[in-house]
Order: sequence, then structure tokens, then C-alpha cells
Amino acid sequence: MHRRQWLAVMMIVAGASLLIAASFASASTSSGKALKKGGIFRYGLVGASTQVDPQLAYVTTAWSLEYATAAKLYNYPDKKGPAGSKLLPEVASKFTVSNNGRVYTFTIRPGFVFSDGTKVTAKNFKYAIERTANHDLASPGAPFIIDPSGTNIVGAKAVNDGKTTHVSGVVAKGNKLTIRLAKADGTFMAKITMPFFQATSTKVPLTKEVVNVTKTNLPSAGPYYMVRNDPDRLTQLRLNPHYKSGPGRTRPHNLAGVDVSWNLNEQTAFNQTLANQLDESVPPAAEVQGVAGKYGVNKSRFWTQPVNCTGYLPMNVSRSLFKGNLNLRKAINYVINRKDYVSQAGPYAGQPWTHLFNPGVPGWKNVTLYKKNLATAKKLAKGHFKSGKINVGYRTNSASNIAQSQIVRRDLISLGFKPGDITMKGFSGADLYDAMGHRNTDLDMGTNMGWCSDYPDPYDWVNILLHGGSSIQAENNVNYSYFNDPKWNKKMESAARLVGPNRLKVYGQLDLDVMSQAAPMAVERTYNNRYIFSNKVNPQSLVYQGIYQDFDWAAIALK
Amino acid sequence: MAQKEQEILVSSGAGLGAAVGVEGEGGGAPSYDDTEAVRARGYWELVWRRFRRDKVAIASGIFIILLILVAFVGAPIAKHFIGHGPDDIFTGTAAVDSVSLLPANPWTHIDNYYTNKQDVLVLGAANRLGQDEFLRLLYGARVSLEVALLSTFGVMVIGVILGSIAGYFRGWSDTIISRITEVTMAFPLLLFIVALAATVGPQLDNITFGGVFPNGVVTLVLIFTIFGWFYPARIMRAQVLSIREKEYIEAARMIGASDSRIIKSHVLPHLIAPMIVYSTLIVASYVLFEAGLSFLGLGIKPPTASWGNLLSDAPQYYTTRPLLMVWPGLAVLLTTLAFNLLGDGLRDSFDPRSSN
Repeated sequence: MHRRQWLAVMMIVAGASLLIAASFASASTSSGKALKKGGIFRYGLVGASTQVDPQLAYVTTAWSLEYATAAKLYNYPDKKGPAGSKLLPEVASKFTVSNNGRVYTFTIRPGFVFSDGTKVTAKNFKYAIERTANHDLASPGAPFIIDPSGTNIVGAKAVNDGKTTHVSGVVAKGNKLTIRLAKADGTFMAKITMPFFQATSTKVPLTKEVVNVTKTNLPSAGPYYMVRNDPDRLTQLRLNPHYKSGPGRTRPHNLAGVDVSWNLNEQTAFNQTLANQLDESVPPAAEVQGVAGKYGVNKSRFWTQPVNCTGYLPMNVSRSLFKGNLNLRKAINYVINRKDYVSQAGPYAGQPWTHLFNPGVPGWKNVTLYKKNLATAKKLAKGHFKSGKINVGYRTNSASNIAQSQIVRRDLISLGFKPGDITMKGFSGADLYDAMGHRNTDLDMGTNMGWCSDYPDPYDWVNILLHGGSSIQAENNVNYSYFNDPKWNKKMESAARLVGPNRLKVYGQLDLDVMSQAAPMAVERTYNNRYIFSNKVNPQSLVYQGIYQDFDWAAIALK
Repeated sequence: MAQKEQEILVSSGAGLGAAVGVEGEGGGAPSYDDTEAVRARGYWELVWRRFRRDKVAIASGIFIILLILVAFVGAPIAKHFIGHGPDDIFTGTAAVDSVSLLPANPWTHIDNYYTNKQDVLVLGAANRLGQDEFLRLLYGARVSLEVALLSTFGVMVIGVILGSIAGYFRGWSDTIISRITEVTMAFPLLLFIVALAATVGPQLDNITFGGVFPNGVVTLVLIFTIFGWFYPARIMRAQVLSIREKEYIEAARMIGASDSRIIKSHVLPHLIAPMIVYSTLIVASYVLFEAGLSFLGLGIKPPTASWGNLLSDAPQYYTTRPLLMVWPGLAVLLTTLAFNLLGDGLRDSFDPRSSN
């Protein structure tokens, strides 16, 4: 007995020691991961600035800004890998769906406050939907909520047509937001999580884009808010003083702010980052090998990550050259030298690709639809040049983009276009997307263009990029090919109705079929992001948010 | 025998700046019998005599002539012998390192996949597309000279016509032309060029008159001409204002010469000297202006070669391929220097008060 007592005492002492040791170990680990608070993160970008209006911002950089500033009903957590793609409640504490899958009711939590001190209510989400659908604002988010074969919020189409300004299917009453759909749609939650549908202050004008931001005219309810936007010069984010930890308000916010400088020279921005005058920039293609060798890959200052984006040359079928001209469209697919094109972007840039679904898109298939074949291309193109004149848009913001456009020009000449008949039109930054997005654009084709996933579903690739129907607007279109074929529209609508593995299988095949049989675009590549960081950035804080295809600014911390 | 007073003959037909010259045989004093007819030197002969004493100006003139020959005759010959063109892209060959995208060094042999032969890049590759630096320099010279010479011709024609009209007729025509000149001077040219490049630039760049001019040359010539004539116009107006008060103009008017005849026969010949001098000086400024605009991406755009866009490609390789900055930089420097020195030499030559 006595011996047993001693044994028990010994066991208690050993257990306590283990507990104490474990607590010390835990404390030391957490202190090792403790991230510094404060400091301004300075990001340098080449090219023109992006739109910052929450219902109009729609390129990856713009969405990185939105991700740091927005408060949404549900949101993706600030985590890398698959964990970052799981939807979690944010401003909504929960939601219910009616039995027929057509009515969603969200319960709005208290505690979210806009940067100007106004409380977030259900009305702010209703207002976001109404702005997105608004006819005059022409939001690129509108096609996501007026699609008869996808998400179709009752009354949104009437607003988009300019008949009214209120979406009848959205009701905000107390802390309840009710959204009625015309028919059930399994992708609704993914769509309503896009930045278009974030809590939007009613101070933001309904029909007018917010371009210049001063401290008060674009309040937001996320961890940060925009205090300044001088287009093409500087965009500044600062901590939202009303974002306090609480239910739903769990997002990191280590930095005191983010300064995004636009229109920098590529080489200068790179040199400034090396000299720690900027904290992040994109290294010029010719410098990538050097920095990868010097800093290693994904270790300290040089980081590269695959992005869920596909690069392609849209061929505008609404213009006479490509209209009803399948042969020429296919010929261009055969003549483009994808290897040369990708090589201009330097190492770690991605790989040649021939169909829309890159390896990040659910349902993708690893096939090569078009192998470069000049003889086949010429045979297909013969007699199909029409006037022979072609207007090609390209981006001027980096040496890689200019070189890639020259590769395309060379390939068009080898196909049979006369050099004097090819008009190359340069655009800064994302301006080429705006130009191609105008229904009456004079561009036949665009180079250096691509598409990144808005949410992880193939609908976002096939239906959004290629379904014609009623979704083509006067401007801000994303169907840059203006592809509108009833036969293919029907196939896309059928695929959208499917669920589960069969949906992915059908979409995967549809991608291959439309690219090989209709060729509305010439896909050229997949992408990797490549960034150089200053030595002030704590590499442990770098969270690559796969949904937003970028490092999460809210999570970044300085050393 | 006492030396007889030497007869001095003055040419009456020598024209402006006529000088008196007496030439005789060396040695003893000439007699009437062995004296050659005294020949007066013409104005242009005197200009030439003064000019040829200026060795720097002569060297500059020779350099410019060689440059013109190289650009317009040498470039196509070089292209023929080298086996490829200045715009040909050689990605995937030894012209560019496939990983670092570094352009090849001088005298690199490459497989020309257009002809299945082996070519040499004399000065290496110009950029990441593997285009030939040497050929692009030669064709760039052609572009620079075409832009500079045609623009100069354009501004001088407009400037001389408007300046002469304003200075000779004065009155309301002077007022109108002077106001237009002031408006043109105040025009924000660079902003206009930026706007033009962003809007109709690509369409204008495609005007080549059936391939006679490279893409973009006509656009730049038009812009430089439309917005550059004011300076020669002001100079010519000032000159004509002075000339129109001269006695010989008065005399011509008295004998009933028409205005057009007076301008053609008595005013314009006096403007030739300042026109030539000013032309050489503004050619140099247009070479620089073209290079500057192309460097900024507003002038001649790829794939057309110009010294400016060669220079704009070069900075990304300034540590690894510094020669890519040297060649076009040197070309611009030497050309502008040559035109400026030639202009200085001509100005001195046309000046009768020139000490030499």
C-alpha cells in the first residue's frame, strides 16, 4: 500500500512535469509564431490601377484589395491550401434554405461596423445586390445573378434591364436577409461570397462608380478600409477602427495599412523591393532566375505559387473577321507557338496549355488539343482571311507582355496576315480588359489576357466566359469572345443543372468540346504568380489564399 | 620698270556678298599683257572656301553622308548577306538564353529556322526575342533619319512660307499668322502625343504609303511638322521684316516688280543661308526627339526598329549586357553631334564676317 502511494505520488509528479513542460513548449511555439503588429506594407505594381468600387472591381489585384476590406455574408478563411476554400460564416451567423432550394434566409450578426461608424445591417447586403444588378452601373457581377441557367435572383433581371432599381426578390427586414431565386442553384453560396455582394454602405451612390476615394466616401466593414485612391498613382488601405474581435470578426489584421503604388516601372519596382524601399513587387522575367538562385524558392524573399488562372487570346466573334469563321479561329489555335509565348514570361511562369480548365479547375483534363502545325493552320486559314485586317490588343505594362504580343504578331504573319494589316494596340495595366469588355470594341483579338477562378466551380469558366444569351452588356463584359451560339448555350445550361461528380465530368468534356469544335479563343498557358518581397516582410505571415490567387494582405506581418 | 597701278575689277554679277579678288602670277609684277582676267568669287564659292577650312564640319558632313548610305543602302545589303531581317524573332535558339532570357553576346551563331541555315548575330541579340542588334541599329538609323529629315523639310516649308507671308505683307496676315504661331507654341505637344498614341496612334502607325516608310514614321513626321513649324516661321518672319526694308527691294518695287517676283527673286535667296543652318540644327533635335518618344513607348513601336526602342529594351540588361545600351546610345550621340557640328560650320561659312 505504502509502495503504491509512493508510486501514485511519482505518477502525479511525472504527470505534472509533463503538463508544465507541455505548457512551456506551447508557450514557446506560440511566441515563435507571434506576428508583429503595425507598419505599412508597400506594394508596387506596373500598369494602370484597377477599379476599386466594390461592385465593379473585378481583376485579381482588385479582389486582393476587396478581400482585405470586405465583410461578406460568408467568407473564405485566411488560410492556404484547401482550408482556405471552405466557406465560413462571417457577417451572417447562419442561413436557412427553403425546401425547394429557392429561398435563402440569412441571419445578420450584430457587431460589424463600417469604417465610418455605421452599423452593418441586412439592408447593406440588399443594397450590394441592387448595385450589382443596376443597369447604369453595369457591374461585371450582374451576369452572376441574372443567369436563367444558373443563379437568377428574382427581380434582378428587371433591374439590370433598367426597368426598376429595387430587386424584388431580396428583402431586408430587421436582422434577416431573404433572397429568393427563380430556381434552385447549388452554386449560389459560392456566388454570393464574391466581393460584389459584400456589405455596401448606402452612402455609395447607386448608379455611379466610386473612382477617387477620400477617407469617407467608400466605407467598408472588413479589417481594413480604403482611405485614398488616386487612380494610376496610389491606393491606401488602413485599419478599420471599428473592426474589433468578436463573433465572425476573426480575420487577421496585422498591418497598420497597405500602400499600393501603381504605374511603376517594372525594373524600378523590382530594384526598390531588393533595396527594401517597397515590400512586394513582381520581378521582371529576366530577373526571376537570379532571385530564385539567390533567395531560394518559397523560402525567404522569392515566392512562386500556381494560380487558378488560364491565359488565352479571345477572338471576338461579334466582329466580321472571326464571325462565322471557325476555320480561321482553329487556324490561329494551330499557329500560335505556345512554348515561345510562355518562355517570354521567364522561369516559373507556367506552362503551355490549350483548353480552359487549368489543373486548379474542378473537372480539368490533362490533354493537348492543338499542337503547333503551320501546314494545318495555313490549310484551314486559306480563303478565310476576309478583309485580311486584324486589330490586336496587347498590354504594355511589362517587357514580357510586349514580347508575347510580338510572338503572336509573328505567328499571325506566318499564318498569312500581311504585316501592314495587323494593327497592334497597346493598353496599360488592366485597360485591355475594359476595352475588350466594351460590346462595340474595335479589337478582334487580345493578347496577354487571362481568366482566374472567381469561385471553385467550372460554371465560372464555361458559362461565364462563353455563354452568350442575355448576359452580354454594353460594357464590362467578360465574355471577351462575344461567343453566343444557341447550340453551345444549351449545352452550358444543361451542364449548369447537374450536381456532384457528373457535373464536373460533363463540364470537363464540354471544355474540350467547345475549345476544339468552336474555338472561340486560343488558350495559351497556365500561370504561376511570382513575387519578390523586401527583407522587412515576415515570411511566416505569407498566406497564399488560393481563392483570391494572391498573398493575403490582411494576414501579412512585417518583421 | 615701275609697277603700274593694278586695275581692280569688280564683278557686278556676283550677287549677295560679292567679294573682290585679284589673282596674279607669283613672281614679278604683272604687266597688262601677262595679267589674267581678274575673277571675282561667287557667293557660294566663298561659302565653300570658308566651310572647307572647318575640318570638324567636313568630318561631320562625311559622317552624315556615310550614315545615310549605311541606313538606306547598307542596311538592305547587310540584311541580304546576313540572311535574316531586323524584325525576325529567334526565340528557342542560341540568340536568347531560354531560362534567363538574356540576349546573346556579339558574334553568336544561331540556327535560322526561317531558312534552315546558320546565321551570325554580329552585335548579338537586341532583346529577349532574339532580334538582331546590328540590323536593328542599321534599320533604326533609317527610321531616325527619315523622321528627322522629313520633319525638318516639313517644318521648313511651312515655316518659310508662313514666315515670309507674315514678314513681307505684315498687316492682318501678320497678325493672323503670329497668333496661330503663338497658339502652336503654347500647345502641350507631349500630352497630345500621349493622347494620340492611346487613341488613333495604332491606325496612324499603319500608314506606310505602301511600305515606303516603316510603321510609325509618317505619324511622327506629321506630328513634328504640324507642331514644329512655328520656330522657323518666327525666324523667317524676322529675317523678311528686315529684308523688305532694304533698298534693292525698294528699287524692285519702283520698277514695278510684283510681290511674288520680289519674294521669289529678292527675298527668298536671302533666306537660304538661315534655312540651311537652322535645318541642320533641328535635324539633330528631331533625332533626339524621336529617340526619346520611342524610348517612352510613344514613338516608333516594336517590331519596327528605332534607336529609341533599342534603348528602351536595354536597361533591363544593363548589368549583364551593357553593350546593348552603348550601341544605340552611341548612334544617337554621334548623329546629333554630327548634325550640330555641321550646323555650326555652315553658320560660320555663311557669315561673311567670319574671321576665317
